[in-house]
Amino acid sequence: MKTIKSFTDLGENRPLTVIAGYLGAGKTTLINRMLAEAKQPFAVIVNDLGALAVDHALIAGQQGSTLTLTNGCACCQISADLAAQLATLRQADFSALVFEASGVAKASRLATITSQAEGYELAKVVTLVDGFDAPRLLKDPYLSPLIKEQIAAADWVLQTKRLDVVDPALALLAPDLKRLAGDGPLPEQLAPEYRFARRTSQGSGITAPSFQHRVIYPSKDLTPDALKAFIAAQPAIERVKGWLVNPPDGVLVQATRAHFQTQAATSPQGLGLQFIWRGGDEIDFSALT
Amino acid sequence: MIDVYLAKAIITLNPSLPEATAIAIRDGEILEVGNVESLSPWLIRDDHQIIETFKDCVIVPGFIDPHLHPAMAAVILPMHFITAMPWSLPWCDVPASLTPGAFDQEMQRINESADDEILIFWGHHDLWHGLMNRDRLDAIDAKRPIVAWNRSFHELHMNSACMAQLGITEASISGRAQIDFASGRFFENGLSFAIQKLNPYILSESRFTLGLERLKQVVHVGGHTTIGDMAVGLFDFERELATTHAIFEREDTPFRIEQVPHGAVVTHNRSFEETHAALAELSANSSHRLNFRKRVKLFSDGAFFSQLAQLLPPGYLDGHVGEWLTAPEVLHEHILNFWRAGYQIHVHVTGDMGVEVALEGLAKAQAEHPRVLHGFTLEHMGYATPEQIERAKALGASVSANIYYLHELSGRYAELSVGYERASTMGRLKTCFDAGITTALHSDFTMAPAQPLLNMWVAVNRLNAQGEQMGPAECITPNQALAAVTLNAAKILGIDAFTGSLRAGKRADLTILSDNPLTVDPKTIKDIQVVATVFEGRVAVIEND
Repeated sequence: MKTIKSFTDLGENRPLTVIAGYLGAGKTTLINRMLAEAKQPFAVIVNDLGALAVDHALIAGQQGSTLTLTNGCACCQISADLAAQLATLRQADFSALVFEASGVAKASRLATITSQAEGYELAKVVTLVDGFDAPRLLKDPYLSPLIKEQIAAADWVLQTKRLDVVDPALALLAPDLKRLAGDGPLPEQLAPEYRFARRTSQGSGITAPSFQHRVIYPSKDLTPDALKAFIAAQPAIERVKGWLVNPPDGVLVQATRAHFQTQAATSPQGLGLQFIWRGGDEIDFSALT
Repeated sequence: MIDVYLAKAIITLNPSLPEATAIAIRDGEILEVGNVESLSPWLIRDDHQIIETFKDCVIVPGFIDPHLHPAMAAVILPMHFITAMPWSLPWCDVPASLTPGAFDQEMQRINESADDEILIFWGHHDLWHGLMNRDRLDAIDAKRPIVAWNRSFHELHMNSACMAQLGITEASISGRAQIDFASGRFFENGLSFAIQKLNPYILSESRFTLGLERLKQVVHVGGHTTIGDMAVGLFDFERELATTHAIFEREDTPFRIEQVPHGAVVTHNRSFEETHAALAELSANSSHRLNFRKRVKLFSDGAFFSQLAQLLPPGYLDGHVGEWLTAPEVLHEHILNFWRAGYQIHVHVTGDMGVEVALEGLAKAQAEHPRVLHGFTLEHMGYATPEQIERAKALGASVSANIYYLHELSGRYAELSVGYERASTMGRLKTCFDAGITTALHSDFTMAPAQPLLNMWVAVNRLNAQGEQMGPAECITPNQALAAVTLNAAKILGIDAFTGSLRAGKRADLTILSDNPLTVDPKTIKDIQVVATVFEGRVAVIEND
């Protein structure tokens, strides 16, 4: 388990808990238990668009409201927008917010989206895994990448429904996994106000790009030989494809570090040269343009 | 009164009489297609007029785009387009801006002529326009707020004046991922922060109405007489119903809209019986131009433009994985529910793993409760394997493809996303036609221009934006491409009984072209002009320059 911050100091930002996990992992059940135990009122947002009409009905005595958020595509967020809903909720009087993710949501994406919310601070991502279903899910070709992602992005992984054993594949993915009993008081870490210290590299879903790419528009004088020499002098460049207009009929260049190939251009449009290079450093292309 | 239109050629899509030179229309319905002599038995029995206005033109069945999104278009169309691909919009022709300098020049020109409170440009693309940043926008105008929205819609940049107007400060965005304050960049999840601030402006009543009015022009100028709204409820179900009704159910609207509800929205917090009852009521209350029928739209995997399609091995070059918009087992449950109730089911599938899940759902449904002519349609189908296409045929599925992916993205995706083999075979249209699958083309506007002739051109030539031919073995013929934007598209929407081809008894939905798409040099199909449309017998002329 990760280091735990004091949770007495709520600061000005209200803590936001993301409960992730595939369908049937017990997210709604857990939230109902949290509501039953809550000392102070907290808000709940349920992101269950796409689920059948079950989850919403199950949330008993819900304090917040239901959010429908289309997964995946930012262009679908224009109106059904999580950030807008968080902003509205901010006006209400409650101590914390719990966000129930849809079963197919990538936890890292949710952590990133919720980190945008003004007035909130991501307190933790808790991922639930159904102990009976885990062996199947981790082998399912459609679902295992998603389940692994939900586990990797979590601060805390809880196995639900099964107390006797943990699937070895699951144990390997989540060495800090705890088993959550179906009754009795919840662990204090599940209180909506409880904050985990976030690992800086965790949950953003963003890693430094291993490649960069750019299209440049070469000068009319640039010859294939000069381009070849440029590539040779820049060891980070892995791939070049595009058109040169010297010779005047145009030439299509395709290059990797291993080969440099030219052929007569069938497209005379001169739409530039695409470079792909390794690492995060900039390359100065001014010699080519 | 019978109207008789003469034409250089009438391409009917009726296999028994593929070509004609005259068509007789009464009360919005086709009486007969043939020649002036063959029409005589009708003409001697009623008043008639011979109309020669289009005698040098070519008449085809009214174009049908079975999949676009009016509500999303309404948000984008009020923006100023500056794009690498040329766009022909009714209120302006957008030239191809292929360099950073050309992009800046266009921004400058529009800045000087437009009087918007916030100037929003749409279409910026790194590959052509270079990196965008705040300084570059400040140089266009330091005082007026400016937003440069990326082509993919997943990223935007703001100038300093815009950030000031929206109250965005370094402190207010500190610690948020995918926002870069210095460069004014908001991308992917960071975009939702920017959208939240821009929403009052981009969703304002006046702008949304302007957007729908513009969409009306786009649809007409593209030559359509029918479009499919392939996810009513994408933004806001009730608001979409009310505004589309107010704007499109008018005598001067020269097309109909076939409305297909967003399955996840209409089933949300309802039992299936309640959903079914609500949809039946919507169908019963359909108006003349706006029609719900027994159809539903479901979603499998993520967006193609954002590389969230779910792929079978070997996946993406960089190893990332796509996303599910609906959990596979939930999708299967939705499919079964709607299938048992006799619906025509449309499933958004972008990657081959998305196709796999949809086909499994269809196979389960067929095993439990066999149906024929059920109209189950794979929508978009960016990547699919030949074996999946064979199974789709065996299960009776249809395909509605976004072939513009190939034009805009295949060059880039070959290098940066999935490698050459799969990038060059996205949109396997010939395999679909060879299998005997009912195959249509759509724009998913604004994912692609709503110009059926442009989509036909891509499908026939498979040239990408860099001018390279990609996957020539998947080229289809001009005949097939025309069927894909007319009769096959009507079948996809389940309305081929009354439109999609020209024969006695169908509604008089016609598109009038300057030239014959079946006989011109295939490389020029996109240059054919749409001269006019006829919607249920009424002519709507298009002003060309």
